[in-house]
Amino acid sequence: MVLVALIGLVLASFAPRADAFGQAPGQLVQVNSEHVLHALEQRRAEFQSHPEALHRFVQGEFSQSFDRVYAARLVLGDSNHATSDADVQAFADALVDHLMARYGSSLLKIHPGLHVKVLSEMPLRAGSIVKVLTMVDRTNGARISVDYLFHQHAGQWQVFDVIVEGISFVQTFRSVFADVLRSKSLPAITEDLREGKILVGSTAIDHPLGGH
Amino acid sequence: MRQRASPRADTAVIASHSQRWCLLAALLAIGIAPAWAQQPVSSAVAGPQASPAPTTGSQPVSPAPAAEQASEIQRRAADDAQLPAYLRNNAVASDLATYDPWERYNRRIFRFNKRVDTALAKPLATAYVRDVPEPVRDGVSRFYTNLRQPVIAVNLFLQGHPASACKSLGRLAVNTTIGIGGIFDPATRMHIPSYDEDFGQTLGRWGWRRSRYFLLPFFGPGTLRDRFGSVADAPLGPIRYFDPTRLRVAVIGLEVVDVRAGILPLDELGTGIDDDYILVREAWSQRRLHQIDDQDVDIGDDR
Repeated sequence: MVLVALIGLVLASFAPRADAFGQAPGQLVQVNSEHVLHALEQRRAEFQSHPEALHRFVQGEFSQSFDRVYAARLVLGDSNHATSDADVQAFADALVDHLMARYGSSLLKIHPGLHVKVLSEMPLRAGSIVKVLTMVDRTNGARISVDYLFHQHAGQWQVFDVIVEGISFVQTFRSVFADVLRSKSLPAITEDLREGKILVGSTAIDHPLGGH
Repeated sequence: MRQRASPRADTAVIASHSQRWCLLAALLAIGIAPAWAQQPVSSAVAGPQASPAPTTGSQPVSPAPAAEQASEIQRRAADDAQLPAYLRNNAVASDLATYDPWERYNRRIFRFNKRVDTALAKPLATAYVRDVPEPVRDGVSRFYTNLRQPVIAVNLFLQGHPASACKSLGRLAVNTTIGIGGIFDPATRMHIPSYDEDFGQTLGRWGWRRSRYFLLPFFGPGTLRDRFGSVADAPLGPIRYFDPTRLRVAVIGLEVVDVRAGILPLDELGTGIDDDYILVREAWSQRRLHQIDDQDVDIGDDR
């Protein structure tokens, strides 16, 4: 159950605190993660009884520090070249809203004692990208690596990809949507997302038989 | 090699612990997406080799001494190694998609495995979680984790980490004795690190990085390299030596149920997209390369 809950934690770890503006990406991750865990501890009962309050909280946490359009363009990859800014914006919004609705409530499943530790900050591409390496420690001793990729936009460090145990969200979605885009236009996919005809991000659970 | 807290699985068994992490990671990675927030599009770029606009200066383009150019090339290569494939300057098609020339066959096996899960594995796991107390289930998971230590230790040694291999054997000794057959985990409380290695990873470390995706009935994601790896690891799995056969089958069956139970919570996230084959394949492949490469993170033990 903690594993599912981590989705919520990572979802909620991007929000810039008012006093965090101008901080380095690593500090942002640390401060934001601690803020979310603290808020969850303080408001758990409220969130449980009022799901809409939790939804507002999660929306607020994400509203500024994830560069959704840039990430969407990376997800679209080669297909991006033939699409308008408006279509990309609509696609990004639809995907965000869709996934927010699906996974926002997972925050409630975080158990007390979860700890996020920033391991290092790695400037790449002459400092235009910063990779922040973190480790999520569970209370039973299990550890999960979560890395964040930041870039600067509008004078602010913003996340554009998250890599959990080696799996990049952009890279994975890029593969998935590349296949879908062969048969549908981007506006059609956006509409499907809005209407819930495409359910993104949960399919791996249907394939439980493991192996190498 | 990045240390793992609770690796386990018998190579002769259908499921493996790493799959659990693979699925988790896939879901986590995908669950991140709601973090996208409204921003203007002015800085956005895309494409396989796209990268954000530099903020601290562009790459040097003027002629430079050979040494400086070589240094710059090395720096860029080092940067690339730290970035996902879609951001790498030198990314090629094989970096951006899993090598899957047997896709038509694999898709058939994928559908079959899903039906097996729906009909058998998932119902058993559901009943297991419902009827068996959590402390007991945790003990069962630790038992199987402990049984995997010989495989892990041998592969650590083969990958050039004898000190870590000894620590893995130390875990086995401590948890088998003080931990009563591995049901308890005093080794973690004694700060003995835990790793997760197998011969598929060892082959990857030895140079067989690109291997075709290859599904088998009743088994999960894997490549041809990893299937060979599983065969090589099999003799090191203690379960195969359990006797009588009935006991061996029961232990293997319980492990399958245990692994499936471990990922049951993920089921509540809903049903799949139109084509979940690609999602599973790509997420698994990224995770697997991460397992192969992550030795750089924590290699100090053996230096």
